[in-house]
Amino acid sequence: MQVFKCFFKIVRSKKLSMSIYAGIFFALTILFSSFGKNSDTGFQTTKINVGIVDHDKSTVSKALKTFLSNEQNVKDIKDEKKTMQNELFYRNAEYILILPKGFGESLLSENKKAQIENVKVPGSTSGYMIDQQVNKFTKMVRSYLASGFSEQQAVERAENTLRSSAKVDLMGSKKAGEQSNTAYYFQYLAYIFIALITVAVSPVFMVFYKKDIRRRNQCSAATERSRNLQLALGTLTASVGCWLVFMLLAMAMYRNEIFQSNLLLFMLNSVMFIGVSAGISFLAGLLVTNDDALQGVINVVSLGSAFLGGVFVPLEFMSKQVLTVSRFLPTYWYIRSNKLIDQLDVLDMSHIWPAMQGILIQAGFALALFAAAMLVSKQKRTA
Amino acid sequence: MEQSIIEIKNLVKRYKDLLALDHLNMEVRKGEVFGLLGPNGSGKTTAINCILGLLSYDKGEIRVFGKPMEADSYESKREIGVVMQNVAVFNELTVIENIDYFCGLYVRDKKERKRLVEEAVQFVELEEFRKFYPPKLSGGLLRRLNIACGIAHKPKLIFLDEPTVAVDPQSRNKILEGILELNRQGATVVYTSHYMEEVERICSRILIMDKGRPLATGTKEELKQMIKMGEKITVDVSDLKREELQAIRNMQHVFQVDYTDGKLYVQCSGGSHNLVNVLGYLSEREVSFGRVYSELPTLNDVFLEITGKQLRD
Amino acid sequence: MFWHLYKYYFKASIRNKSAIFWCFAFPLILASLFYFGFGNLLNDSEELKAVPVAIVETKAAKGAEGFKQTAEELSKKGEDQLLKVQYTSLKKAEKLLQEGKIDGFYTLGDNVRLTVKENGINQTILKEVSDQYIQMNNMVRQTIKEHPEGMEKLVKAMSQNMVENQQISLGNEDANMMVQYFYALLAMVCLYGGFMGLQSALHAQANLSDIAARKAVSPAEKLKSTAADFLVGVTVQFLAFLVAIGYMWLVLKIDLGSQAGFILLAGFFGCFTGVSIGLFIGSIGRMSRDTKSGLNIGISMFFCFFSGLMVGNMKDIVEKHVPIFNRINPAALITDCFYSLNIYDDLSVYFRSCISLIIISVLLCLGSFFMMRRKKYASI
Repeated sequence: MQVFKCFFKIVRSKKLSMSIYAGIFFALTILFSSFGKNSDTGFQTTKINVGIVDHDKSTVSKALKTFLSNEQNVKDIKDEKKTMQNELFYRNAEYILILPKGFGESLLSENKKAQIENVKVPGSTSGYMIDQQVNKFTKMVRSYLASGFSEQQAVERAENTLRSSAKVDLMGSKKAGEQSNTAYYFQYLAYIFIALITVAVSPVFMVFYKKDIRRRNQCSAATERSRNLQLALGTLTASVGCWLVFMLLAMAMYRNEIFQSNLLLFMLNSVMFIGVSAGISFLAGLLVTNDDALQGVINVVSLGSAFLGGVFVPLEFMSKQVLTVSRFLPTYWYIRSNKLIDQLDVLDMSHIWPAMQGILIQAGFALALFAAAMLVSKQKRTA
Repeated sequence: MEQSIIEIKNLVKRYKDLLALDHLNMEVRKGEVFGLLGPNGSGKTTAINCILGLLSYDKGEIRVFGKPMEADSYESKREIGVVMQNVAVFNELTVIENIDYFCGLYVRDKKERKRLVEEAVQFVELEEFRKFYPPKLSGGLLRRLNIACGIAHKPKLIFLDEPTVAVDPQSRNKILEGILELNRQGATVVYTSHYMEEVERICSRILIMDKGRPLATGTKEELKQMIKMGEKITVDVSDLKREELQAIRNMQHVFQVDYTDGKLYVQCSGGSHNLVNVLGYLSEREVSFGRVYSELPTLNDVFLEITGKQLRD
Repeated sequence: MFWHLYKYYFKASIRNKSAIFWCFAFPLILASLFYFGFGNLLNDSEELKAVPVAIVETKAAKGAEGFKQTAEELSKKGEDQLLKVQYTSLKKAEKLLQEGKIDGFYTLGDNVRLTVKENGINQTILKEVSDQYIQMNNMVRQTIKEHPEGMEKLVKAMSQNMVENQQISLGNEDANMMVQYFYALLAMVCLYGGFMGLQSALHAQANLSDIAARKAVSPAEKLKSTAADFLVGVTVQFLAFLVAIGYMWLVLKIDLGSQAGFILLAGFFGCFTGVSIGLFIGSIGRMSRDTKSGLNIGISMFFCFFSGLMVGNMKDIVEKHVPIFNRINPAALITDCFYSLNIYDDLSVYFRSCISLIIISVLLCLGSFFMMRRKKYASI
């Protein structure tokens, strides 16, 4: 078992970089499970910080402020460009509403438009939401005023009316698109598995396939077969060990919610993905011959596939063309299955099948990667 | 007496539990080729690194050019050339650029440097390889480049730490001749090796060390005189009687006689006619003998005598 | 002597092909991936697709006509078509929803009810539509009861958009959230200078490399030769930065803001900081070269992660919970520089970030200096 032992000696020497990657991963998951969900999907669990510059101080402007503060953190700020920029930059205010003098009165007028201004984080969802709220409120107050209600009545009624809403039923899944913490955890695994396994395992193959060492090994009494078996066994042990660690941690971190019927599927999906990662690291170890270059490759492969596969930016945001390309990445299928598994309520074959498809496709990728790596290693051997 | 360039007194250096240098005393005089001889791990490189001010040491005193050697003893350093045991060159720079780079650490003037670099290239005979990158050079050529980088600035004191490890005989010869040439041009040389033939060939004075301890110092001749043996005679004899063996043992200067496998070994402690005496006795007794060898002791014999083990491991 | 050292080390550095290739190429590859990944988010011409929805009428559909009208209105073909409505039975609607053919369905009875399968942007739109309808209904009912004479005016007011909530800009109005990723990538390029810094540190300590040992026995002052190596690192890294930003500007045509001079200056400080980090790591303790390089890459990834390389709004999250970390994270400071240049015309954030970068670099360099200053080594 010389080769096997040596395998883990090399892996051990990478423990520092491995632990840093693991650290990034935990920062990622902990932050996301405790500080609100991915706001890119249009949902915000935390209140939005809104700053108001009220030059008007009328009933309407005050009512608008009260209305906003029902749902958001509202505070007055100074009408000064520099202050606004700073507040905005440091997110003390994500949206600044500027109500000019005469704003309340202008709502009374029939033909004159009421002008208000805002400053917001450009293109942000939170900005859009506040826009909507301001718009609705002002429009409603103006409508009430137009039909003859007094200012006081108008703002009160507007506030009340805006509280009424349609009843929403959720059909089927109780989870209703809300991604569970478990699912987030498994989602980010797609990045970390590739990075981690490549950091740990690729150097081993780099060493064993270095010209001199390869030749020395070839001359040795141990058979090629036994050596390859030991390398395979090492890769397997490292990958499965790494996977187990992350599974145990998941169970420890999310013990309140993780033990559901779909846990096994989550695990199946991720163990398949670690097979893919092992294949990638095997191939990378054979193709890359230099330590510095390996760092570049790790970054490009792990980050690139994570981005295109929808680990960080939801797949819904990507264009059709990109999605077509993404389909050729195992990460895409992992993420897809992960989402499907998360939404599963009924565990029968017809419901599981779409997720299983993704898992099988990953298995295909893993096999293809290993086959390619074997081919390369054969070529190296004879070269 | 010649001026001493390096003086070391009671140098002690510990690596944790390992005593690397154990009260080393040593003196290198101007103009000599000083050999540091010892098996691998005997502390030769450690001693050199201490002298060069790279390593800290626990006890003792080192003076180079009469001054203590510190990290900022730039004046002294300017006069020193070092050829390290490991090849220390940039793989991404050509032969000529490497030499120029390291020479540039010592010599500011561009013109002067150009001349020195050219001389160094010629000195190690790498003219054909000027534009080569080190990874493309063979082991021997690489060693020569390593030497050129260390001595291009014409230093007065040169350290060569096993410069011939893993070098083919041809390159080795060139290197050794080169060192002698540098010495003839006026440089003092400190040379370490575990090849005694090399040391025997080029060094004027030698320090033998083992396990961090100096065992003996002196010129080759002095060292050899330190041991009892002055001459070793081997004679092929097919048949030798006991009393004849005893008679030889009782001859003057002879201190040890062995007879095994048809070979007679006679070790003598001095005197000038030992061989004649032995052979005379044998013919007198009408003992027929074959080939005859007579050798002077080598450093290996010296080492063997002092440490009880072979020098080369 | 300084320029002699600088010249040759520069030559040696740029000839280290595989390292240089990755240093220069990986930002290009990642930038391309980013670009293709959310290219459609970068170009604001994001077309809204009509939301497929079904309407189910029950017998008690009293106020249904109004809602049907509204739905009709919203599903008029055109650029701002919001809904794509089909009328079905409840069973069919449920089936369609289950199969994902529609995003939800309205049941019209005494009131409007929305049924959806999951939460999402389209579902939010559907809810908004029904909410507004209900609110309008309420308003109309109240008006009829209390001010019937004002009905006409109410209807008119409801159809008008008389409040203009105009976004004013404090700088670049077209700044796109997605540009954040490219900023973070540029910050990563800067921090990749750590490799060069690490190399300088290894070439400065006799116990870590043969070349350093050879330098140490020469009369070249350590400070001088290390400074030359360090500057080479900054030069090479800045070149990589220029290539990366040039590619984003000229090939991908990403709007990184117009103040090119300030952007490049921030990039330069960023590279300086990156190289300093490497130098510092290289001069700590006696870890092997491998370990140090692993530490270096790990730390830079760590910083980049918190500056939003993987999750765009990471910096906002940090800002909300641990703002101090954004003030000292070099990657965040670098992205802050770019971001503030792009969004605001006020330069105070920019300068503050640049100064922080300089302070961090200086501290790291000083730290490295004191660690490396040790004159003799215990072992080599």
